[in-house]
Amino acid sequence: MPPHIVRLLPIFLLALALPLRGLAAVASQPAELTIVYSNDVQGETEPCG
Amino acid sequence: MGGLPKKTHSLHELRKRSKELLAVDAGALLFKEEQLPAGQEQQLKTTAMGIVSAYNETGFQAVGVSRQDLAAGLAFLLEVQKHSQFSWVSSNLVNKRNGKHHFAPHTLVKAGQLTVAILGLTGEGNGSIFSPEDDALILPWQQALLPQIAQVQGKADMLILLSNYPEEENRKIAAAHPEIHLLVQAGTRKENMEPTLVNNTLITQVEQQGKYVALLNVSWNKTTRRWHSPEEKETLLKKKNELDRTLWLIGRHQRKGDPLTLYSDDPASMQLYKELLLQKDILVAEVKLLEDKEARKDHAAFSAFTFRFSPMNAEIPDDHKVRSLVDATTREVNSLNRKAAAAGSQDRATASGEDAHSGYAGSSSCTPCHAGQEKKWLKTRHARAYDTLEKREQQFNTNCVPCHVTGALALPPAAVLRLGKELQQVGCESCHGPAGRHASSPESQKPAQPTASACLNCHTREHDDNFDFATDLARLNCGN
Repeated sequence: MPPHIVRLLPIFLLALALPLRGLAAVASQPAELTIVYSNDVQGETEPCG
Repeated sequence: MGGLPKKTHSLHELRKRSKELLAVDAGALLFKEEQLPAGQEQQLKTTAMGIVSAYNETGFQAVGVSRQDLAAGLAFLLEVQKHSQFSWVSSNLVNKRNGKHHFAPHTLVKAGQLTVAILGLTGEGNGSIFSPEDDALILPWQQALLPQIAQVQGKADMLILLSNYPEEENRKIAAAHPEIHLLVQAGTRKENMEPTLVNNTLITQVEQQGKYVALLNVSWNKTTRRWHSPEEKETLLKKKNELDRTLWLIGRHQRKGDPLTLYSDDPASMQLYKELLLQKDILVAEVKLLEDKEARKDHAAFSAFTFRFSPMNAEIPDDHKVRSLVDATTREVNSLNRKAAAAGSQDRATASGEDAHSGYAGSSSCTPCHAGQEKKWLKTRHARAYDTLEKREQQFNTNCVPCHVTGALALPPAAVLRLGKELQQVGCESCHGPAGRHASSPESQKPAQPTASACLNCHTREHDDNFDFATDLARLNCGN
């Protein structure tokens, strides 16, 4: 392998690895979600008066 | 359905703040009981359709099919489904002959970065709720759940189960299926059930009557899909407490000197002291092990949650559109019942009901002898109970009328709407019982004294959270 390619190889690999690390960090970020739940609507107090 | 405009307003506000919002209802949406009370079928079906129109606006994504929702029959709920802009979900309600599901066995919903699978279980309850022509069958969860979980597992990041089974059974479901991450229970429950971790499933429920809406804020790790278990931390705390107590006991033995010398003539105390020393060594080792484990734990690998039960109280503004839908339903119900009452179909049930009511005389019969009591009663809300119904155009709502008139609690709905003017208030006989005989023979026939059970017919927790018989009777003050 030509010497200049050998010298550049670590930079090339680093350039590949950094975004991948970034992607991995994003992937391990937890996803936020709000779940609203209810039950027994018909039992609600009727506005009789 | 009185709380629906507030619920809708709350949900719309939440949606403005968070796009990653998922709204589900565990069920018991349309009816309170598994069977409709005789004479109220039409009114309750009309109300059910009103609830569905409101829910279409509210933005719920899925509703579990509960046994209560099937109270007007399977055909009615299938018709309701056609008008619903949300999914009715049941993984175990199938056609008896071909095994096909009557409702969606699951639904996949995109919420922010997550795909959430929602499954539903209709309770098996006691006995069938279907007519023979329904050809319907509720499969046990042990049979119905696994194939659905297998279908959604590769597609969804999170699994939610809307369950109409009782809590005890839901715990078994959670123990058998750690793939289910959240289990929301449907049915009656007197208080909110905070999310409780069983295996890898949070089990939770909102109390009856829709007085609350629950909010679960989740920070979800899509890779591990496991909740952070508080159990290990609790064990560590327990062991630390045990160690503290053991050290305290050892300290007591050491107060008068070295126990190994002191107890040389007391083998029982020596034995006890040595056991304590051994126990201390074991506890120290256990605590160290648990502390190391806790320190090594990658907290990011677990999912976390916070929750809040939000009360739907009077301060929350109404959503105008849903308010209009609710009011329209109320008007429709009253109009239907008014027509039925005017038609005056004297069926046998109505006639016998009115016979049962004939012992009542009306408060005006009491006035000649009890003018003082009447004067006090006129100042109470009991005296205006029917007027408030008229103001809200609810005087033909057979759910409302019995508690706003006198002596109608045992009457069939049609008879309730034909009571005379003299009984259109919560009068003397609501508390003292029918006084027709007393009115004709005042000395020989004495009316009953008010009892808590008479009041509790109407002052239920559903309608009056703060009722206290002694306090409220004293406040009425009729007899003094």
